[in-house]
Amino acid sequence: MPKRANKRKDAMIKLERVEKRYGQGPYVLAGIDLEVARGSTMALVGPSGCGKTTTLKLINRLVRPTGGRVLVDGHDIAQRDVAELRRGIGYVVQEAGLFPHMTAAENVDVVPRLLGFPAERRERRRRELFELLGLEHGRFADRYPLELSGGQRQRVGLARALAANPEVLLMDEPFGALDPVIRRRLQREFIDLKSKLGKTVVIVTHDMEEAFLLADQVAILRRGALEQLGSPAEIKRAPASDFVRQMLGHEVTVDAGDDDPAEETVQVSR
Amino acid sequence: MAALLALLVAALLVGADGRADKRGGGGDGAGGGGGGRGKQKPTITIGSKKFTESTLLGEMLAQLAEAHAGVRVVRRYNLGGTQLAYTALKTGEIDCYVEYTGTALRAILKDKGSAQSASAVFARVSRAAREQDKLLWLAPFGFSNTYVLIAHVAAAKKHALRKISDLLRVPDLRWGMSYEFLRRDDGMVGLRRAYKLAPKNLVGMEHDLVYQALKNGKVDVSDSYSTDAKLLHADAVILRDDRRFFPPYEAAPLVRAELAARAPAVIAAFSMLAGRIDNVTMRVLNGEVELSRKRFASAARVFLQSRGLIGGKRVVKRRALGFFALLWQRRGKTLRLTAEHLMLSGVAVLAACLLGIPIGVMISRRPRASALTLAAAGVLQTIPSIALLAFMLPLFGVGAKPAIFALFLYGLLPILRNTVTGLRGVDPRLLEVGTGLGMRPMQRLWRVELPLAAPTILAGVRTSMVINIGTATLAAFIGAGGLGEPIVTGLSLTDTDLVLAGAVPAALLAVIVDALLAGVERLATPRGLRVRREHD
Repeated sequence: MPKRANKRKDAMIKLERVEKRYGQGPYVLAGIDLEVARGSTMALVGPSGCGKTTTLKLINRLVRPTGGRVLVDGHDIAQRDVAELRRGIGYVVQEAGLFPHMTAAENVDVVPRLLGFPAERRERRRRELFELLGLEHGRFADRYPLELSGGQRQRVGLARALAANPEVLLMDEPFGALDPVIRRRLQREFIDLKSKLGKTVVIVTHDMEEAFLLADQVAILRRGALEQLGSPAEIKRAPASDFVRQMLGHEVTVDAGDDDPAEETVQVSR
Repeated sequence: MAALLALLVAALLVGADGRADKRGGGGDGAGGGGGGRGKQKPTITIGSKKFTESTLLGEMLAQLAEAHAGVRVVRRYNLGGTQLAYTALKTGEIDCYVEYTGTALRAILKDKGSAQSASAVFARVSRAAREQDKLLWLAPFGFSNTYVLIAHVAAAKKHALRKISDLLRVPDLRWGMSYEFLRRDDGMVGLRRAYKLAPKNLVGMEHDLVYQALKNGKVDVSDSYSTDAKLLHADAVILRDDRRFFPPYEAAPLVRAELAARAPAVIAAFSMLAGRIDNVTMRVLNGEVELSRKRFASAARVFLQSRGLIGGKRVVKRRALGFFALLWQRRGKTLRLTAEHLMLSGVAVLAACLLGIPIGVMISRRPRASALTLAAAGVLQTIPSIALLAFMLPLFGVGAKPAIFALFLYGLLPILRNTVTGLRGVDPRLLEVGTGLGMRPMQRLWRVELPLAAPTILAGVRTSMVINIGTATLAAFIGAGGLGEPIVTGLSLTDTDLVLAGAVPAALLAVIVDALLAGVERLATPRGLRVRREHD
């Protein structure tokens, strides 16, 4: 893992006693402390409703904490311009979330355009990324999302997240909607990719196997609290609770009637 | 918001003014300096109520003024009923129209007293008009067009009906009365009182349909007026006003007092007709237009020439019979009216877009504001169009301005509703992705929300436009022109072909514009969304 020599703290992303609740409702997150080392990959795992997506969205401020603070690259993100913060953080969601009215190329160009990159630079970067992700530029650039397969869409979605060369990449169930064969292939490619790029990655998944495969550190969440944090090997060796053991047995527990509100709620700030 | 609305309305009015100027200028503009316009002739505006005699006499006055007073005349015919015409005259929308002394007495002065002599009534109404409204009654033409009650000959024979009080004996006759007559104090309202009439079986109808109804045996009793040409040919008898309820209805030019100062020659020209038309002449003249289908202009010209009041001997063209011949003959005019029609509805829809889409955007994410605004726009939509047009008159007078404003209000709802629906229909996950990628709210609006909502918004614009093309035909009732003009005139002349000459092009226009906008809508649908439709 390439580590740059600098004086700043080792942690690229840091959550300090972060709390989240909606109004006077129950705590969706109850005091999470988490550090993601620069250049490493952290997986957030847990059944639906455990708060993993909420935790992810705290990092690009799609969700604002009601307590505690979030630091990215040593800075409290509450102090930063939120749009600029987000442009510096890659964001990939399930089924890619491509804009259906834009071609693959236009989708990839979204953030560079927001940053005011000239057309030439955008295209150079786009061709680079298409090649990196195994997409033939001449064939796919002008296709609309609905003309692409699920796997191709996901590659375009990843290219879009990487377009402005962000240091941090947030991925919310990126391979969730794909069939198992394509998913395996993309997972393998992703492992290859992340060692090439050296990004700090936070990935949300409900699939323990995927978490172990992709992440250096795995955070298991349950009902808004951290159940166990450690490397895949540590967790496999010493599960901290019955709940973790259950997760390891691939039995997905669903905490009844406790859906993650962040998955339903849309941040509207016009 | 209010400022935006005001600005928009102001812009519309300026636009409408420009148009009026091209057609000859309003009554107000003509009197003032006109310094910049060079040696343009002074302009006067002559109006008429919505029936043949009023328009025909108005046209005679217009031709006399043009021939003898050297003015340009703007014709604003078919202004509707008495209140509309009188208000238009008071406010200076028009400079003159032909009014009846009895109507002024009962409908304007609200005098419910018993009938007086013709000269007493004239003296009374002319003094009131001069003192209260600064209007002048010129000398009457010489005939009195009083209301009459008529009965179908069969009913008259069966029940021995000769005078109005005979109707008291037969309470179950079917009465079909024209709307204006029903409302008026000098019509049905006063008549009921004077004769203690209580018809059991009474319906209101457009005056133009009265003879048809009488002929088809749908009604037994109706109202008409003594110079009505159709009276000659109808299977109807006039019932004598044995209690002398109807006051004398002498017709005379009613003009704005300031016109006498501004254009005395016009007053002199108008006065040439004083005492020149008796009851029979008027009935025949009405027949020239209504039965022989001459145009107002030619019927008026022939009469004035025959009395030596204007010169020239032009051949009078009879109107070609048959709908298609008429349509062909009117092709130039139809084209102009179509352009006018498109202007009315186009400007209205454009304004509705300029206001409706931004408001739609602002309220779309606020459920309560949306509900409130859409409800308000919905209420506007439920006002009958003719009523909405009428509401505009006190605000804007007659002509294009009130029509455009009313059409604008009508066009607002579909655009607002579809903007809100379209924006709400955008997948919330895409909105979150947009935000998550670092779009600011306005960037997200322009790059994601509006493109995805565009097809729905345009569908609203299309609905709005088609509704407005239909509704704009009614705008002719308040003198706004457009394809409603031949419809209104045709109705007043019971000329079906003329009605169709307006209605058919209007319907075609709606269909064509609808198809064109459907094309635009397809083009505005982002290609990425069209792909799906093709694959589905």
